[in-house]
Amino acid sequence: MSVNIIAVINQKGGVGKTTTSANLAHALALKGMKVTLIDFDPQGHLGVSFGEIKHNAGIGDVLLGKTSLESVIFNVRDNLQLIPAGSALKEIEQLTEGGAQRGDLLRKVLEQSLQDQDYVLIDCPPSSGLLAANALFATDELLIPMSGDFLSLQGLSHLMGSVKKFEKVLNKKYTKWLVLSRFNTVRRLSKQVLNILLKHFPQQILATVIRENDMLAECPSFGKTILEYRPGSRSARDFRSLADDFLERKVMNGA
Amino acid sequence: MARDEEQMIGFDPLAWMNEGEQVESQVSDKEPSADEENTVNAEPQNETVENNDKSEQPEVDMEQPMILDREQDNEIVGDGRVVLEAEMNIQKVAELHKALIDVLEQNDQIEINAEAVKTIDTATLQLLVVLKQEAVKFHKEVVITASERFVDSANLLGVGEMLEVA
Repeated sequence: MSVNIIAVINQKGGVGKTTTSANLAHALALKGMKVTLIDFDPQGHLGVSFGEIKHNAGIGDVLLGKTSLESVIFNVRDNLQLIPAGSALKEIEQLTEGGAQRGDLLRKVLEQSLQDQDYVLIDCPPSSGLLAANALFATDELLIPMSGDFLSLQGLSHLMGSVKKFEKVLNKKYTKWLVLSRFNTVRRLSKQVLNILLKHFPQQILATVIRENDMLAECPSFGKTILEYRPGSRSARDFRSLADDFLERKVMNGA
Repeated sequence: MARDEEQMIGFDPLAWMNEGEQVESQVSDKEPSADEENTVNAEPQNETVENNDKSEQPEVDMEQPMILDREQDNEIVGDGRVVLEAEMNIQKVAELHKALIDVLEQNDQIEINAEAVKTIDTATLQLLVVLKQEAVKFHKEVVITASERFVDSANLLGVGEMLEVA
């Protein structure tokens, strides 16, 4: 069975990409899945979320040919591996040589790697540059965190513009899953955002809504996921339920 | 137009996704029909017609700030000139639409400088076609100076001659 590579992507910042990546990956790992997380954001916040702050080398060094992928894989929890961003990752965005090959670095690195894993999640940066392009080259499946505000819709519109271009150039169709993240379920605006999403992405929004909760913002500072920090909390339940949705492809029904 | 008080979202930024599929299916046509123009880019075209009625002008300012409150430097407007940036796509159409309305109202001769354009989508091209059509109605002149990519794209869509860049 081949590994499923999934980009957790949204060009808008603050929609919950890293929170979703860290907690969903951990929830999947706790369910027995073998998961590898790639921190593809030069800020390195995914590593911080697991208390991994000491690594200088990471996926950036691998893409630049400075080291091997195996040398930057770290076991962070049972069944869960992390490939940190590393200080070199930001250099990728600045690459000016190599033409179209610059966008294909990650796909080549992952081509024959991590075959013992069930899932590889790529936590993408909040930008539409070369790193996001690398992620789009490397995967056929996108997980798109969305918060319940208007600017989030606007960001999604930009992302879908990029995705459509890639689909045309690469002659492939991405499987897209939306996750409602940082969601305020009682706010009227959030409901209207959801209705718009249901209209444009029927059968593509995972059923569980990740509700906004301060605890989700607190736990990275302790180097813990919500499943460790407050395992009995509403947010921990949300992510366990989201992991089930993810595995079973359980989606919201249309408006 | 009265705003629905219950509606908290001024416009749907994802609406182009459905429209885009229609555009793609029509790209191979040599000459876009009137129906096609109305179908593909109905919203900006309707606004163009409305906004050329000077009595509607105050409403334009009230309707559009949410769309236009960003990247105002995409098009530089002054002395009848509009400069298009390198990448023109549907996300920028609303902003360009506003710039074109302004320049059309204030000038008899309009120059669209598209020399820097590297990519342009069908929505933007159709907006420019509408501009040309509206300008004729008001006895105004629109001249487009275009990059090679602009010309190729316009010809591919079958509007090169209409835009007078073929």
